[in-house]
Amino acid sequence: MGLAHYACGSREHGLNRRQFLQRSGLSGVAGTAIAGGLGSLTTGFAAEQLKAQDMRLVVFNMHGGLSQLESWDPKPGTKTGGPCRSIPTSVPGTHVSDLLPYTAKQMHHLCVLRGVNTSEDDHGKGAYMMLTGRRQTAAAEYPQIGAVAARMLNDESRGLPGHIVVTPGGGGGKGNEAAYLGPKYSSISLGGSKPPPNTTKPDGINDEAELRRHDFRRRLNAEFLTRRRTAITDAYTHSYEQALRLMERRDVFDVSKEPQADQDRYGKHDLGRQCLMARRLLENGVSFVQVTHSNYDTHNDNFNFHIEQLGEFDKAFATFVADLSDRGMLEKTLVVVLSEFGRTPNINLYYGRDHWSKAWSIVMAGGKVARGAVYGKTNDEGTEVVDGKVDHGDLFHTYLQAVGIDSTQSIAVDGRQLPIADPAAAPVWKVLT
Amino acid sequence: MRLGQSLLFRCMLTLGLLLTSHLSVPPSVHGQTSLSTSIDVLVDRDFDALISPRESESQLFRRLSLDLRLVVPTQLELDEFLADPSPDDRWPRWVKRFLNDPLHRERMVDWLDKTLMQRRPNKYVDRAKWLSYLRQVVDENKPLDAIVKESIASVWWNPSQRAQQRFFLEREGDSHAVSRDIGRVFFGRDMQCAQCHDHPNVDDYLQIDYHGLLAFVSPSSLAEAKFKDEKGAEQKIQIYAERASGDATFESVFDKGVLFRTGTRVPGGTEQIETYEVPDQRYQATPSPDSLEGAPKPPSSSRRASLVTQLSKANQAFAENWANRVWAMMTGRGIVHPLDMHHADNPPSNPKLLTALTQSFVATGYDLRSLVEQIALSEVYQRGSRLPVESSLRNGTVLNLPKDAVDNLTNAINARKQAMDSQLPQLASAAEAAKQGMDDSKTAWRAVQKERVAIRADLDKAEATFNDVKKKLDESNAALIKADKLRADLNTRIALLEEAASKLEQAKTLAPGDDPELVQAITTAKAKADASKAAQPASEKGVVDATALRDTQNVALETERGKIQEVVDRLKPIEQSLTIADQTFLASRVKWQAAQSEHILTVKSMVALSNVQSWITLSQTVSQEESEHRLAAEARDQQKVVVANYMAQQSKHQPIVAEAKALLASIESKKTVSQEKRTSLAAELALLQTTFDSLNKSTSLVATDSLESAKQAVAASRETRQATQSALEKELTSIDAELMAQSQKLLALSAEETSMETMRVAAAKLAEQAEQTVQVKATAIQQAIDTCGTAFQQVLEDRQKNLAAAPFRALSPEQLGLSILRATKVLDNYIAAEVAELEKQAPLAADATPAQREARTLQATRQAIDKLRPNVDVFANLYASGVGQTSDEFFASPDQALFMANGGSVYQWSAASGSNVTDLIVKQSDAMAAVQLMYRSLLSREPTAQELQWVGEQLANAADKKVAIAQELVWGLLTSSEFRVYP
Repeated sequence: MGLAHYACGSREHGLNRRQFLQRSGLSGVAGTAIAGGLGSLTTGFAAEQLKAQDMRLVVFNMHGGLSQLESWDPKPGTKTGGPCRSIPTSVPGTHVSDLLPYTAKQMHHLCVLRGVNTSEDDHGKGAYMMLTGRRQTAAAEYPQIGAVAARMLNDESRGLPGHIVVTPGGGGGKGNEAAYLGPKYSSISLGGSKPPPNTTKPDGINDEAELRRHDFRRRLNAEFLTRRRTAITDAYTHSYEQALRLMERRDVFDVSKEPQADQDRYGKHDLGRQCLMARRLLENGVSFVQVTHSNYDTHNDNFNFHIEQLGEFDKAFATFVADLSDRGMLEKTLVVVLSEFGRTPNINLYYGRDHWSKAWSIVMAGGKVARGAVYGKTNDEGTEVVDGKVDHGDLFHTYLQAVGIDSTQSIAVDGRQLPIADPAAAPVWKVLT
Repeated sequence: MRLGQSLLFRCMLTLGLLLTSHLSVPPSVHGQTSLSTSIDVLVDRDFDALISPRESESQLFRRLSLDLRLVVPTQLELDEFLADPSPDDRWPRWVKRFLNDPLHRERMVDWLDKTLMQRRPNKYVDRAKWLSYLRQVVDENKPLDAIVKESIASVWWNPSQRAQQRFFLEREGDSHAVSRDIGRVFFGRDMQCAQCHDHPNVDDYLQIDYHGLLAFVSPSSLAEAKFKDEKGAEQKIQIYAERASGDATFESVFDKGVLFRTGTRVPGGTEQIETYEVPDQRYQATPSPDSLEGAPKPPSSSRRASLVTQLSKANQAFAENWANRVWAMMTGRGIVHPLDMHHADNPPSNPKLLTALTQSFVATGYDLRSLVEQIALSEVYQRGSRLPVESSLRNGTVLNLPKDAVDNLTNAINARKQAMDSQLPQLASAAEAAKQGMDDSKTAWRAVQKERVAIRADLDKAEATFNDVKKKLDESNAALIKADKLRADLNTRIALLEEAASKLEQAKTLAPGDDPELVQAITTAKAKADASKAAQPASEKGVVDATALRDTQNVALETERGKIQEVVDRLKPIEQSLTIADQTFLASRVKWQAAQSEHILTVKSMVALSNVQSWITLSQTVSQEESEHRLAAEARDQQKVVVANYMAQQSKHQPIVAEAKALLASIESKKTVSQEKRTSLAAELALLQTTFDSLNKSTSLVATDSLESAKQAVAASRETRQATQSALEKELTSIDAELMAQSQKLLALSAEETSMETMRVAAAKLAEQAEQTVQVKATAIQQAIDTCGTAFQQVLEDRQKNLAAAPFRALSPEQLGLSILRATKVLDNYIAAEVAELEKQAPLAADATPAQREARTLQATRQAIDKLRPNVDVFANLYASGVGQTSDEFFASPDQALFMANGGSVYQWSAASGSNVTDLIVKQSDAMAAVQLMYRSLLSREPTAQELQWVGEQLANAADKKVAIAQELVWGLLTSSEFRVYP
């Protein structure tokens, strides 16, 4: 029997507990309901305020494990550096790999964290940790960042889903990615430029019949609602109106509606279209978009693969960031580039790099994140973090803080108080403004 | 309490409300009090004004159908129920009838499936196999504890227990996942947060509890087993291979370095200290290899069997959990809620009721059917969803009681609150003291734990050494076997060679002359035998040496065994003290749980009463605001009258002013005329003077008569004109006087006009202010109503917790899907098709018994359900909570609505076909009758007058679009909120 690895920070837990007791009024004669929520963010004023800030989040998931050495933390001229060089960027003194020439010009928008250490070299577990901010345990499920963002940020009145994953293929049913937040916040997967399912009228219904049946539905509903209105009936009725609005806004999912010039600028490959789609969705008020770029798992021929992959990524991503900035959206949008882990400094016999989670990098831009900054440092050969070490839990806190969510709070779910982020971790305050 | 009741009794009379029959005592069953009666007796009956009377018959019927059969009732069933010739005792008969409905079995299958598996996908056990197992369990009405126990005790080497293994398999065999869910599902305790430390928010969940459960199943994992199927082909399956042994060792992340160990323990129990067995004597699984040939044989343990034994000792947590879960299935809410949060800070809302349900459930041998039936028969189950005193008012709900009744209610609540308030300090200090007692005994227990951990560490070391020696012994045993075999082979070889040589000798004698080849062979054989004999001493020695080594190691092992025994002997007294400390700790814990629960329950009750008071006050505020609004409106209206009066005066005054102005004008014009006259007269006079002067001059020169007479005539004319002039001057003076007088009069009138306008403006301003006040009051009313509505929601929730009112429940995904299929007759058509198919395959004999007929219906229903399952799955995908979540929390999302509207199937099902409801509506020429049919079929009720009229008009005016409109209306009802929920 080994010891349990899961760790909770004692200070935070202690605090939560005290708050709980105070709020629940168990310490004396209570004037308020016992089932009080401790720091519940999702009810009342706090939630409204948060939604009013209108923040958005977009995650680029570099599937398979992007090499930090061929991207954000190059080590040219060392035995681990490989053949790529480093180039200067728009931020004096900051260099990135020469595979990112376009991104280098946008460096003044970006914030690189070079001290990521997640100690997990398994693809599935690493991806879980980076997207949920927790280590995977069989005895609990945690919601992914997209589900949290949808719950906390999405303004439902816009009639658009709050959690969208853009993939080349699309499809796939609802996963358990929202965990206890409930399937409402699970992702909708968009492939290519197809809108979500069931957004057109069924066959055989003309416009007149469509109007009529929804009018019937409203009229028939109204009678019941005068007798008994509950949160359930309100939410249910509202969901039909949301559905109609979504049908009206179906064009939002049609990337071909973007100008041809933009389609050319982003590149005529899957990732280019996905980035443009992400821009379109964010502009229309979707609170969370995840773009996946596959595949960086380069155990063989690491360098050629990175040249090819980043060749796609670099221009599309740089264009995306520049566009957000030009359109004044970067203030309100956090952009994150992450992977499940990085790649080994050591170059293997097949010119590949293997799984490596001890010292790698992620990038953020926009929101409340400092611009043109570099945080954290690895040693000369990139084998160890020497400064500014952060892990998946800290990063998860930071993403949330960067879009205005107090990550130290809890969410009330079915009578339970569940901390949004791992109480044992903390935001990287130094990169937040 | 008595006081409150009597006051409320009067209040009810005041209201003219019927006293519900809960004051009468229901008849006993079999000479004893039935559980349903006990339920009604035990549920709080205070504050009748706040207890919902029995639900309407038709809605109650819908509730029963959904709870017992997952589907809404058909219109025919509803009509039959309502027309039942003896309504007084129809309820129990219909409960029974629904319990015997094939769909009731599907309901229980659905419940067991979701409760045990929490919507996990069928990865290791296919769905058909799992459902068939559950159906069998339900067919037998297998006791619930037996179902759980056979799941826990199931073993992988018995293929007939594959379905039962699903609990472990679908949790990937992970010991943490399994023990978390054993806690949640079997004991109603989600102790996930107690994995790494005592629970941060729940004092009652200790790390030791979690690890005590973990010890039953840890370590464990999935492993691959191979077996030969019927055709002899090799198949691979994943099996649940646990090797649970030893203790669970853990430390708190808050208190690193302080280790604890525990053997198995169930919630509410103490640690089971197992008789120590040296590693080589431990229990080993002995799987039967027949069916799973070649499968690995991981050592199994009797740990899960020991959990079953624990459960058989009437574990209270286990029994309460299941009674609570069944109650929640029937009423939508647990007596402990959430269902997996049984702990002292979240006590049952009605502890006595939970105890009664639990005792009855255990006494009937966990008879699910009987428990479900008894709950359905209780009057508490049949309560309505509305409070007698609530009254809807523009999106809010206010108290609707005459003033004296309100006073009575308030007094009763105050009296009750005061009584509780006086108990509170005592309860609080009792809980505090009990907590102290618990902490003390925990400290004592921890001290013994510490000693135990130290000795257990020694034991671990001794075991490690033992295992090393055992390994060496095993090696030397293997070497000995090898040496033995070597020796035996050598001896056999010698014997065979000698035998061969002797046989060859014989053969040689049977032929004349010496065959040289035979001679050679004999020589070779003898030589080989001799050579082998020479090797015999070495092989003997090999055996002797190996035996000696084995013996030495045997001795060594026994020495180690002795050392282990020595540690075990040291451990034993500690374990005995530990058991005592554990028992003391448990007893103090139970005591604290009781004290804490009572305290919290009292606080909660007081909060609930305060909530009622707030609602009453807020309702009064609403009426206060309403009367203020009324007064303000009156004041505004009065002011409006004042303004109107001024305006009337003004309009009367206006002509007078006008007249005066006209008069003035006429005088002024008269003056003008006179002035003009004067001017022309003056001119004439001047001319006459000039003429006169000229004539005068002329007469001085030439005096003629004619000149003189002309001069006279001019003078005369001048005099006449001078007389006229002086008259005119007089007239002008009089006109001026007149003018002055009239001007002054007009001035006075104007002043009056201005003053009137000023008064009107002032009055109008006041009227405007009054109007603003009215608006402010109107807003205040709406705010008061909103606040009051929120307060009422809280009161209603409290009352629902107290079982005084039934909650509105959302249909589960399965209920929703199947109810739509039933309401549109798709389900019944499928069943009919299956019946026909079965009849074709094997016609029922004309004299088939009722049992045979029932079995046929059951089979057909199940086949129909299986065929429709993909359709129901669509609902599960859209409406259900995620995998592993405790319950299906309601949520509404646009993709659900998009599916209902555009997904095709629901709209298609609502099309007219084969005498379904739409078809009947289309065929019904009487629009009113069609509307009634529609509401009975889909919402199990009569339409209201407005609905009858409006929907009737739509149908009556549909003309050639009737088919489409009927479908749209049916779809409209299927997608209405009312269809989505049930009271």
